[in-house]
Amino acid sequence: MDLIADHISHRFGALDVLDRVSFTVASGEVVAIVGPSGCGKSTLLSILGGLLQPSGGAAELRGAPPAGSLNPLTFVFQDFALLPWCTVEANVAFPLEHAALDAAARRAVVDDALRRTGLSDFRAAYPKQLSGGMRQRVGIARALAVRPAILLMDEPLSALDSQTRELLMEDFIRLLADGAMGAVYVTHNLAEAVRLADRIVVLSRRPGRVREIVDIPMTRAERGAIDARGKLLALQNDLWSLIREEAIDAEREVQHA
Amino acid sequence: MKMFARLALASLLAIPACGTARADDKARIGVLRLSSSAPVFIAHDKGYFREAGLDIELKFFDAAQPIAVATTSGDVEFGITAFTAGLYNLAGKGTLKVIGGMSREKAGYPLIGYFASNNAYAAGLKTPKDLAGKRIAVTQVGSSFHYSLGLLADKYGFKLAEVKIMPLQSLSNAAAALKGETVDAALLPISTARALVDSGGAKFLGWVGDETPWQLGAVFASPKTLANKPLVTKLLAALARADREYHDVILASVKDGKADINDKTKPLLEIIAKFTNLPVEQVVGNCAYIDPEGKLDVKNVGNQIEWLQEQGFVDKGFSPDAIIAKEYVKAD
Amino acid sequence: MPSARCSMLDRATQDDPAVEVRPVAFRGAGFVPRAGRVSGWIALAMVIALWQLAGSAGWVSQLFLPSPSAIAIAIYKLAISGALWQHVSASVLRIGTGWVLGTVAGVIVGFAIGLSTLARGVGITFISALFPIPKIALLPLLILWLGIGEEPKIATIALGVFFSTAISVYSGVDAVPRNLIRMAQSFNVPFHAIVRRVIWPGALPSILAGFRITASVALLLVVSAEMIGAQFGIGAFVLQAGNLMQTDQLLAGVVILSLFGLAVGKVINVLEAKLLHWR
Repeated sequence: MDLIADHISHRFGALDVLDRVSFTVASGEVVAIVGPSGCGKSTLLSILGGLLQPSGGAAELRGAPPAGSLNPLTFVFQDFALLPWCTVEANVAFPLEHAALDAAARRAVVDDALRRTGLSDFRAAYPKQLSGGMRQRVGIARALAVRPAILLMDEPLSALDSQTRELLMEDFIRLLADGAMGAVYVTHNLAEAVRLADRIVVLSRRPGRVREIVDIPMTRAERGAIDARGKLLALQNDLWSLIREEAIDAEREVQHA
Repeated sequence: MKMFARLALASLLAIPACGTARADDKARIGVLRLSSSAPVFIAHDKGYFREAGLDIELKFFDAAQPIAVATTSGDVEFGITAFTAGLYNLAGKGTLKVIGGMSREKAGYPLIGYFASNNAYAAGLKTPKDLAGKRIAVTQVGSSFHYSLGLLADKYGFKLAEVKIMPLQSLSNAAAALKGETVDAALLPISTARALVDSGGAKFLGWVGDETPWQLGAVFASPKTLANKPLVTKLLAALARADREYHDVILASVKDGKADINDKTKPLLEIIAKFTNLPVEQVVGNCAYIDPEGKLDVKNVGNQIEWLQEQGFVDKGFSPDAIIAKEYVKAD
Repeated sequence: MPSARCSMLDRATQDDPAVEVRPVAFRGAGFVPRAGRVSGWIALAMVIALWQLAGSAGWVSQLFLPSPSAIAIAIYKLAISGALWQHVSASVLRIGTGWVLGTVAGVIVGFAIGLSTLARGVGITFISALFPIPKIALLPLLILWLGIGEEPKIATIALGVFFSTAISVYSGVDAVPRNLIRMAQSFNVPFHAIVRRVIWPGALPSILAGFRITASVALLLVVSAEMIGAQFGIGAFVLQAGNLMQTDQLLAGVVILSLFGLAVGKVINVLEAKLLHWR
């Protein structure tokens, strides 16, 4: 199943946020969206996931979703969006409550998601008892439980400290390794983008337009090697030079406002 | 805290207050803007207090109870209002004494009446005698309305316990209950009931004064004030002068419950109208009987206390003697 | 190398008698008041003792401020005569029924206002217009509409409770984090389940805070409610004691009402601990 951004435009009142953004996320592909602050990255993701009506253009799906997927487009949120009154287990089971699953199947799905995220020992804990990293793992487990075709990840690491970020990045790489699941990964962190993405969509400053789509010419497995670091850093620098001028402008503008 | 301060002040003042009267004795009288206090208004307006060497200030209240409290706390030297259970409870603790009589329920002078709801009237509630066993609205338990019902029960030999007393706290609530047919009857003063009866919202059954005359109101003072004998004597004399005038001019002209408006009564009626904020036309139908010499029906006061004590509204353990200042009161 | 330099410095200051060594002054004290349970009770006991002393020593007339012992005796007499239970049960029934009716209506209306644009426009206008009306002013009307039985008494309490509840419920619904609702929507959770599993528990803290207020409102209003022809009830008892100037009985009724208040507060504490343990 492919996800297509077809000339998506959006405006909030008088403010143009997105301007005819088009690209395609092929089945199993990981696409990162980067750009200066306020370029509409998160707005774009909301539109792609059906949480926001675009002012123009459309988000489209091509092809049938994979068999057994309960929620083909599934979000992972920056602030985790966990229900504070539910245990880890109940949070993961929450999206399954209205799925056509019997209790045993539901339990199996939850157990599997908890195991894949290393949360099996924390199923009875409440979110307030967990560290930020563990909370985001709950968010990921909840997403895995509905067997998505494409994960829509909205800055999933930016609320975490750098060590936790590193650990979770390793989890992402592992979970996406088999290519069964694609992802749209919105981030302002270029290192994350070059580590994880097959392609990187670079958006311009507001209103966000597609400036460039950069292919990463390495498999994710190759990028893990020590000698790949130089290449990745060079890629990151290329991206930064694309964005830097606008990032300066964006920062100034924010300060004026 | 205010109470503390007041008490401390009162006890300090109590000692020098025993001295002799000065040329112009100052005093405050707590009173309601009702025609049952008519002689006070007459004495004040016509300068009887001043002629007696008194500098009197009238303090107006909107309920009987606060007057008794204000007299106890020393906010006013004299109080003139109706007897209530609360007043007797204060007096029973020695903080008040009765020094003279004021308004009375008396045949021919309508004050408080019995009124029936239209439905109850249609169902046979035609006279006060029929009130036995009915639901009757009063303002408060232990009020003069409640006592009047007690007297009625004695007169017609039914048990008060058979009557369902509904205390509704205010006259407007009682009137609303009567009009809304949620009670069978209510005791209301003529001033409240007139509009209700005229508009067909209720039926008139009879006047308390015609059924069971009794001593409704009195003049009272705190023990501190009583110690100032010249002041009390002068006040009672000035009041008696106004009582006599009110009796001989206005009450003498009352016919069918209404005072006549003529050259003699008009000046006095206008004084009452001014103080009660009512038009003269309404004052004439609302004239409380007051003894021409300011006498007090001591026997009835004793009966009131006994009845209230029996009902549990007044603390037991004191008799009328304890609350009546015999040296001043002219007994009926 | 760095460690060698450190020890040299240490020695330099220690060895030099001309350089004074002094501790850094602690300046972080205060501003962390702790809730002491004991001090509160001691203060209360002292106030009661002083009050009793003022009465017993005759500094204050028993009429103006009956002493704690007189109040206790009044309550005791009321209890052994059996009237206390009659008063308490009559009031509890009215408060309970009125509170439940007002709360149910308030929660429904509050949710409607929190969830629907139409209900919000209409509801907030009506609540703003009607909430400030003193319920006592409406007593004669309530008597005309509902008579003088239990209905107007319960209605008085229910009305007072309704408005506060509706307001606290819709502000609670408004305060539910939008991202949780978006999350639920992103998983295709149906509307009724979002209300039940996300909005209800999310609004519960402010609903319970509202209960704390409405329980007090109900206690306040029982006195007004029992102005309407009540023969029994704590409110009626307080009113009658006031009318008869039986100040010890009056304060006895007030003490019973405040004990009610304390008990209800405890119940809500327990509810909060049970339902909001996740906070």
